[in-house]
Amino acid sequence: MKTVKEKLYNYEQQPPDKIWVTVRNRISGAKTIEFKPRRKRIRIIALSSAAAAIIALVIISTVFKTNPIKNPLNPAQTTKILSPRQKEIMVKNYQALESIIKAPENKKLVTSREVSHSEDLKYITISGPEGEPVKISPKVATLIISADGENPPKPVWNQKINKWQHIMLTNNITPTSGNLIDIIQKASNTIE
Amino acid sequence: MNDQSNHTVSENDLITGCIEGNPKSQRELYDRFASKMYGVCLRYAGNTNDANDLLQEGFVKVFNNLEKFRGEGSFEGWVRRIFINTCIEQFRKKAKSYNIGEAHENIVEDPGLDALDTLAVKDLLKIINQLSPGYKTIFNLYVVEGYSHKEIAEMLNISEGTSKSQLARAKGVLKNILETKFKNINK
Repeated sequence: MKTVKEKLYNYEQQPPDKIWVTVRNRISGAKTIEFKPRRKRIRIIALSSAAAAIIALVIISTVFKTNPIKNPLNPAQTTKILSPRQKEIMVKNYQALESIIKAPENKKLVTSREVSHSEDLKYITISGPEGEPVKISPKVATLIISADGENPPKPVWNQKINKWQHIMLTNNITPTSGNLIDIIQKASNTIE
Repeated sequence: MNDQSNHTVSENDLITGCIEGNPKSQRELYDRFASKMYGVCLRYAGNTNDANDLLQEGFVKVFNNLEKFRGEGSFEGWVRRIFINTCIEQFRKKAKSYNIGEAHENIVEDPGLDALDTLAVKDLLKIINQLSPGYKTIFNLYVVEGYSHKEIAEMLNISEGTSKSQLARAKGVLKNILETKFKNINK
């Protein structure tokens, strides 16, 4: 006679068929589920990146809007190839240049005064388009600014050129090397 | 010996097929163990619905963990262990309502249950299912599966003494059920 242990241990009973269907679905479902979170994760990463990019753009645009670059020609900002000492000189020169341009009084006087603060008495050094140092005469400063569309127009050179144009167009004398002195003389009289 | 080795080889193929996701292998593995494991589930569960759930849960675990079977011991033993663990897990979830605890630690005299041997399996199952889930689990683990009280204590997070007393009480309840049953038959 079999013992209780043997009887119960070896007891078998056929389960309902529906259980296999559920098990099969769950096994195959488990494989599908493995990919879902990955897709979801990729979508989350993509959305997060897009959101981060938008936020970064908003922040950058806000920063530039509230703190625009006041002086794009500022050598301290644009020049990378210069030593700190050279940069310092250029900053001073730039300040001198700016004060020359903006001064309502006689440019020549202002130039000589401002440049005297500079390291170089004859020239001021400004930052070129590529950030390279460029030495210019203080007299040329107003011309540079006239070429800069963003700055307010500086009438000094424009007035001079306009007057020269007017003199040359209205004068009956044919400009030759012999009477050019006369034109200059006349221009000087007109300015005065 | 030869038959056994052939059987082992085909079992290995079956396992490999299931790991590769072959539906035929999966069905064959299910068919091979479904009846035996349903028997296990019926012993631990209180009703067929719970047994169905345990069988389903157990097979899902078997298929999902096949790669972990290293061939140490029999495959059937490994599968059976998964099902028993699943049943214990279920028991643990409901353990609070089953009121199994250290309060019952006093040892009860072990009543003889030779009468149980005379019963048919289905009658045995009916009687065992009359036990409370706590008694039934310990009775199954000790008497049927052959675990020691120490192992049962570790499995159920109880003391060894509690396991012993619970088993003795389970046997006492079974004895009462059997006495009532035989009295009714004699009448």
